[in-house]
Amino acid sequence: MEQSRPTTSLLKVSNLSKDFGLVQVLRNISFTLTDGTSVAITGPSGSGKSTLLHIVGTLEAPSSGRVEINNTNPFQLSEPELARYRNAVIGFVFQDHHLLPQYSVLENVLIPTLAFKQQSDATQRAHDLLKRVGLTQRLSHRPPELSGGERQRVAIARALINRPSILLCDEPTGNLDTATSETIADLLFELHGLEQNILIVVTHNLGLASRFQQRLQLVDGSCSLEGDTES
Amino acid sequence: MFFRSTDRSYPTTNSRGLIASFKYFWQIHLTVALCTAVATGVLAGALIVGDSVRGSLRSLTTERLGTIQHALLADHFFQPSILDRQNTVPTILLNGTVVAPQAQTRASKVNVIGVREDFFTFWAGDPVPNLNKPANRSFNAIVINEALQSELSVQIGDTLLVNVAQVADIHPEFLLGDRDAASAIQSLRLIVSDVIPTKNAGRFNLHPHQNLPFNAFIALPVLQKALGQDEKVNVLLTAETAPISSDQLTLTLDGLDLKVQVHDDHFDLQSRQYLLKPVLSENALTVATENGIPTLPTLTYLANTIAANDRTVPYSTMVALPTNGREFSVPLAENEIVLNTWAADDLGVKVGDEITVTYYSVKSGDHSVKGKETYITETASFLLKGILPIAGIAADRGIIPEFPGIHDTADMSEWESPFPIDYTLIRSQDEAYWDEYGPTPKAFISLETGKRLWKNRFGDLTTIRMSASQGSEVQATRTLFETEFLKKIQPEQIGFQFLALQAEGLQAATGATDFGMLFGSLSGFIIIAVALLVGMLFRIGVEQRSREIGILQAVGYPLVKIRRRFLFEGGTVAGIGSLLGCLLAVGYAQLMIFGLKTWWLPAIGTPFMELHLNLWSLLSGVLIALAIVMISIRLTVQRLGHAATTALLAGETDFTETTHKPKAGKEKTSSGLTIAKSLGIVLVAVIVVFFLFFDKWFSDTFGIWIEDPIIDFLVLTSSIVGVGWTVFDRWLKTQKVAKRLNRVRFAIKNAARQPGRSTTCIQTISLACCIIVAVGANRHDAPPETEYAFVAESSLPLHHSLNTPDGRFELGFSERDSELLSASDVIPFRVLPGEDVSCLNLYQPQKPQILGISDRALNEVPWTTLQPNSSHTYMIIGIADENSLRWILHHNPDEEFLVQDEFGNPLSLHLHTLENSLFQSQLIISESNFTKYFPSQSGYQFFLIKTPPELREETAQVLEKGLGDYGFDLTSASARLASYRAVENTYISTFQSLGGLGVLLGTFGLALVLFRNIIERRGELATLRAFGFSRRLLSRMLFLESCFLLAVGMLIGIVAGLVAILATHGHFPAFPWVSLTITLLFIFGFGIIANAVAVAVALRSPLLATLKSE
Repeated sequence: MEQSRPTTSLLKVSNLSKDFGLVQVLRNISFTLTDGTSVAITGPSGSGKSTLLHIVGTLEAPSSGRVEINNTNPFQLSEPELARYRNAVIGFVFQDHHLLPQYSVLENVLIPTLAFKQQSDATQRAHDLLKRVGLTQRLSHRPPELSGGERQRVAIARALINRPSILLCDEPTGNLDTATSETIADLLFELHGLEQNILIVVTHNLGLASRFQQRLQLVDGSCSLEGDTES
Repeated sequence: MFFRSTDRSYPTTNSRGLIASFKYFWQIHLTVALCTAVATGVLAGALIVGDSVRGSLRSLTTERLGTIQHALLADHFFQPSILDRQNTVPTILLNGTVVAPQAQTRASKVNVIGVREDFFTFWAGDPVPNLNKPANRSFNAIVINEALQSELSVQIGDTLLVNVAQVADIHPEFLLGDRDAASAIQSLRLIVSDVIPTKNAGRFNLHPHQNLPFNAFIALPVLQKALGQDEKVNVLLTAETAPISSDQLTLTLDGLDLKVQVHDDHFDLQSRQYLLKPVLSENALTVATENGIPTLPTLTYLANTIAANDRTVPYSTMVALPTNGREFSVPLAENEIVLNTWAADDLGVKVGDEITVTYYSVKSGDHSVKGKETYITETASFLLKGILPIAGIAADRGIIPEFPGIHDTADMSEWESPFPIDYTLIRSQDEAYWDEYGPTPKAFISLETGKRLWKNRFGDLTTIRMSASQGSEVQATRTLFETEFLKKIQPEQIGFQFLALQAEGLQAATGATDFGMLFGSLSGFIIIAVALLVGMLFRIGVEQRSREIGILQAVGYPLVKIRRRFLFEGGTVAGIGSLLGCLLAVGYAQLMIFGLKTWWLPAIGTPFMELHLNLWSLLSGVLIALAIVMISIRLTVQRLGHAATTALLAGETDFTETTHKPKAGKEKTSSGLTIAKSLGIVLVAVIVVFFLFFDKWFSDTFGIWIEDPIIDFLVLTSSIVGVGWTVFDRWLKTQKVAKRLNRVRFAIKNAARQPGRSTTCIQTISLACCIIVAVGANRHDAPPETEYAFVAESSLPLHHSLNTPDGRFELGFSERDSELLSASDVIPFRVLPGEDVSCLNLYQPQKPQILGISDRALNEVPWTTLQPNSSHTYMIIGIADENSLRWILHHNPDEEFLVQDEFGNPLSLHLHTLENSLFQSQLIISESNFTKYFPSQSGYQFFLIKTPPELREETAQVLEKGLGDYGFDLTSASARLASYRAVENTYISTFQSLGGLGVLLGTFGLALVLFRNIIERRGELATLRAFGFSRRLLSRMLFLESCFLLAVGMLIGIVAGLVAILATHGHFPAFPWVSLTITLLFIFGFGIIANAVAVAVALRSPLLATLKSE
């Protein structure tokens, strides 16, 4: 990567709660993460993992509590400002890759750059990212022509195209076989090492979770943070 | 949400499952059913419109004819007793003009009908109007219909002047015919005694036309007396179903205007018309020959002068006769003449001297040449062959028919002739001769020479003298001749027509234009749009159920059963829809009929239409629409199985798409396929170029008729639209990677996500635009331009030229008015009465009106093609308007068109065509041919008038006022053209209105596709939102995507439409850019709005939740 993010990032979650009517999904969640941190969110189904990820990713607003990213509360922004903010700060990788089937691999990677004024080096960066994820030969292919692992690699490249401060992955290996999961995980860590962003991954895979610096265990809406909290 | 998501389970088998399926997917099924209902309603409704037009025309026919079944019609008056048949109603039917002096109004083209009370019994139940002379009034009664009352603004008790053509024995255009305006018109002053509704008898008309006629009824004896035709009529009507046939007619010599003068040893056959009609003289000579009756045919004419040695004998009778018979035994060559002793003495000539004869010829036909008189003085020179004493045939006045106004005068100076006489030439010796010998001929020439000099269209003999056949008395010979002669004459040859009025009327009521087909065609686009929409909806419905199909396949259902199940479902839904469509059809037909009676009234002229429901049409519409919809569903169902079961189980919804998915590293299709497709496109291009530029050459060279605007239009539009669709579809499926991705390209590429749906959308839209452009281009918004200021028609024929001072004087114009009219140039046409063959007449014309254009105009384009060609008998060149010929008469312009001449002989017209001309109501031939084949028609009744713009208003006033008695009506030529165009424009408006409905459906389809795509792509859209795409940006991009499809569809349609216009016209006509652009912009705007609504509705629900729900 020729360029890196210009500033140091800080994610601070304080007393975050989320309820859907009578059902409280998250309770008083608090944690702080800085650049270079990797966190795995684990927990049983329905424990609120994805909800937490979406709130951090600003896709969903909390019922109470506060989320600050680089000292900004994104939920106070207007919808267009929030979109711009999300575009610049956050990258997503979903379990279902959500690639657009009508576009080529390269085009899919470039899609986030279209939301706002395109950076002049966007295409070059897309090429670089696709080279890193090992898809140089697949630039002009469409998602239906790719394997599951290849699709997820495209999704990772797409998530990183705008150099996000925070990379959020929701079960990135959930649909993949073990070997491919390992490869994708390796790739995530490799790129995380290079980008030095905050990596948050929701996973059921405890083996994978163990490779993260920190693990956020969610049980009945409450969390406990384990691991190297200083890094 | 409009569409169900695909991940819920529901019953799939048996009838209960079917019902459950209907319940579960009720939205899509309801939409399919509604679309089928629309298709059925539009198609069956169109057929019902056709039935209604035909039914209404039939009703009009039975209304105007009542119980009249047959008619005997003649171009002359006859005694009703000649028809050996009971229960006939004698009637006089004339064309005339009616003036209301008090209201100062006038109506022309009035049916002046002389009737007895029994005439009204044809309409049982209707009261008989009062035709009796009003008490305490000097004038007789007239009954008028409400249409005429409205035109004249008169009331019962008002006085009317009725002008009809005076009946004369001698044709007005013959030398002895009376053309004097005062004599040509018979005026009757009558009192309005009753007004009857313009229905039943009030609508009586022999010619089928949906417009309201002006009818004026006069007591038969009153009209007979005014016309000098006591006891005679020109029409016999009967309500009996047995046809009137020629063998029921008992002809008499008197009825044929013939008279026989019997003498001691011979009898003379002569005509009250002076000249014996050729058909009569030829038959008489044939009968005489067949029965051994010696004949002496003669032609008597009047010489203005016989001159020699500077001496002149004025106004002498000359006789042309066979010169080798026993009656006249001086053989005469062509240039030889014999004088009687009186003339020879008066001229002082001897045998061998040169004799000069002058005589009048009537300028038959073009008497509109400026500076020339109607009567042309001709000169012929002879050598005197002999001098005969005034004895024998040279003293026989019997061979001289009576000259009305001359024969019975005591002195020559008292002659009252229609031709000019220079009384100063008449000397005392001439009066003395007249006193002693009367019209006894002074000179004799051979019959051949006489015919050459004096033959005209009315005949070439004046007397046929017949002697007793061998061994027979004169009286017996006469009786024999009369019997055989009358047997020989065919009534059709002498102007009788046997009309099956009711049957022919009902036949004509099938209509010149099949409105069922017309509206079916006009609605065709809606039906196509619906078929495409149903196909697409059904496909969406099936796609929604991809998991169901996958599960059924997984558990072992054969594909054929799955297809059958969907087909059955579709069929049931479509069946229900088509039943609903029956109701819609009636409503649609009612709406169209309402439209025809209001917005599109110019298309039918009068609001006469009523709904006529025909169950067969309804059933046909239902079956056809159902078949179309079922084919569409069948094609969709047929594509089931293109996707793998696993893909279906995974919920992939694009299994019916044939999206091109090249394998890695093999993006290019096989070279064979590429070559085939390329060849296909090249082939289409060649076809387009061929039909654009070489179709005429091909037709001319190989004699195979392919040069037809309709063929050009269909081939070209379908080719171009087809290529457009194919190219676009292929483009969608083979989208290359962009060198640089931007938002616009990103949005446009989204259209490639479901290529089938996108292509269907552009198909509907492009078809709509193609039709709207191609049809709309034919619209004539601008006022039509023509070099002529006016088209004029007169109810009564004019026998004098409007182009000469003399003619105008004869017609009664003042000097001032005559001077004004001298600035105008009038082209007169003779008129053979017949039916209007323009689009203004909804009935199928059987006997077109024929015009004979003045020969003077034949040197001008486009009349040059009418130059007489005498080499072909009964085959002549004519001119017709292309639209009338093709669409009203349903005749191929390349084939001969058959009419009947005056004598019932078939006359073949080779027709050249004019486009959008002033002559859409008639066929045109040259005047020479007109007078040859329709000799008894006299005068001119149709006129084209060129007038300087600044004088038009004044000229129109002068002409209409001066010729009011003739029923002379002027119409602005451009207004006449506009009236024809109004019909065309109305059809176009109708088409565009219905096309607009199709566009609505197409746009609805586009919006539906957009909506469905958004629903299916919620996950993708949520991802984009996750990556920072604002809702507004997403909306904009989705909107851009749909606008792209709209624009592509419109572009393909517009290009195809423009090329079709070029092919059809050979050039771009005066293009209604403004109205067309507005229409297209409206379509685009409507599409945009529909798309915007679809985007707004589809994006209303939160997208991001989609990510989590996974």
